[in-house]
Parts: sequence; structure tokens; C-alpha cells
Amino acid sequence: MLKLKKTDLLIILILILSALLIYFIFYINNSNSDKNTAAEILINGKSEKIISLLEDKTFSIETIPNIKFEIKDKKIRFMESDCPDKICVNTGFIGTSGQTAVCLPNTVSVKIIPLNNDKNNLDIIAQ
Amino acid sequence: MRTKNIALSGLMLSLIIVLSIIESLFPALPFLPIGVKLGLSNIVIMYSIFFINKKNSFFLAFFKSFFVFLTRGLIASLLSFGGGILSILIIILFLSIFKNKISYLTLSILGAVFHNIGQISVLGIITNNVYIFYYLPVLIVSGIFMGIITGVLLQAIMPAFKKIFKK
Repeated sequence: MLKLKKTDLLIILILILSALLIYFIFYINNSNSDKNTAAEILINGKSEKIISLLEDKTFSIETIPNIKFEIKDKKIRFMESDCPDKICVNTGFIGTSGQTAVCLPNTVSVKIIPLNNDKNNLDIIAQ
Repeated sequence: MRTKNIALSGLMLSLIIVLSIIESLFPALPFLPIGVKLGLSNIVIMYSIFFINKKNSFFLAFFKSFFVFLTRGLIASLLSFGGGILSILIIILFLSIFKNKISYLTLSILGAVFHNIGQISVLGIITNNVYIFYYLPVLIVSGIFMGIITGVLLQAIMPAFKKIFKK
């Protein structure tokens, strides 16, 4: 019933290889970056607040009171959110530079950024 | 012919809606990565590409995301639209390049993978955040698995589908 031809296997192989390639590109990017990190909270893609991860605390931001964040052991997570799918909460703690947690219904995302590099530098890497 | 097409499209659209409702009833499996779903309704869209006509499948993807808009809001609908249209385009592209040298299973895998890629691209545009593509390897691999499942299901259901739509 399921006869795979050469082209089929080739395409599946290419897909797996590209997944590995993308993984390693991000992995190398990550290991280069500094361990001294901060969290940037973005609303609608615009930076709202950059917060240090050194101090453990729970907080929320005035413009989005429906979401609570928690910082613990230099990691941050969405602690509570009023969105229906709770994907942001389920993402859990993030702490390595480049990691992201997103709450789509509220268009809020949290991104871990290296502290030493200034922001312009980061944008060049990202592009 | 035109009337028949309209009726057929309506029937397939309702099938898509029912399948996505059934899918939302499944409990989230703990071993699956966050946000990964089976994509049962893609079976109908694939059938439409292979056996009805291509215009019909774009119509289905459009109205599927309209349905998502009504039930889950604008952003979810944009994601559905981006993923749906890209996966149809990719399937048509590969179908026209390789013709009968490519199996339905691979087309199904390609559809699932590019559905995910389309969605994460829309997500990247909305949140304006490149780091979202960090998740892409996970999405490609899970797309391959989900594509295999939907592809096998499509081949299993095909005889029944043909019986309904042939006349």
C-alpha cells in the first residue's frame, strides 16, 4: 500500500537534515553568547521592558495586568495568564539566551537577551 | 457541474470543521511537544488537491481559517491561513514537478511540515521575533510524524471518499 520511491526517501532525508542544520545553527549561536542574560518583554513585537534575572520575584506589568511573570534561579516564566490555551504557561522556565516564550492571544512574548551585548549588536545577529 | 462543486465544497468544509472539533476533544498527549497537533482536517484538504481541483482546496483553506476566526480569534485565524495556504502551494508545486514519482505519503509529510513552517513564519511576523524559529527543528520533525499519520489515514479512507464523491 505504501510504496516509497527514491524521490520520497530523498525528500524526507532533506527535511530531517534541514531540521538538524537549523538546530545546530541556533545551538552554535547560543554557545557563543554570554551567560549574563536579561529578559525582554515584548508586546505586539515592541519592547516593553527589559528586566534583570538576578533577583527572584513575581511581578506583572501595568499595561498587561492579566499576565503574571515569575523570576527564579536566573530563569523567567509566565506564571499566570488569562489566555485559553495556556501555551505560554506550559512553556515553563526559560533562561538561555535566544529562548522565547509567547502568549499569542495577548501578543506578549518574553525573550532572553544577552546583557553585555548592546541591543544593536543583537539585531544584527538576528537579521 | 458548478452546482455540484458548490455542494461538494460545502460538504468538505463541514467535514473539516467536524474533524477539527473532534481533534480538539483529544487530550493533549504528554509526550508531544507544545503546540503540536495531528491536523486531521488536512486529510480533507489533501483529498481536495489530489482528486477534486486546486481552486477548491484554496477555497477550503480560506474558509477553514474563517471558521477559526469565528471560534478562536484573529491571530489563530492568521496562523491557520498562513499554514494552510503554504502547505497547499507546496503540495501543488511538488506534485507538478515530480508527478507520479512521488507518493501521497511524502506529499502529506511535506504538507504537514510546511503547514508548520507557514504558521511559525506568520508567528514570527506577528511577534516580530526571529528567535521563534528556534522551535523550527521540533516542528519539522513532528511535522514528518504527523504527516505520516495523516498520509496513512488518507490512504485508508480513500476508498470511502471515492464512493461518496464519484457520482
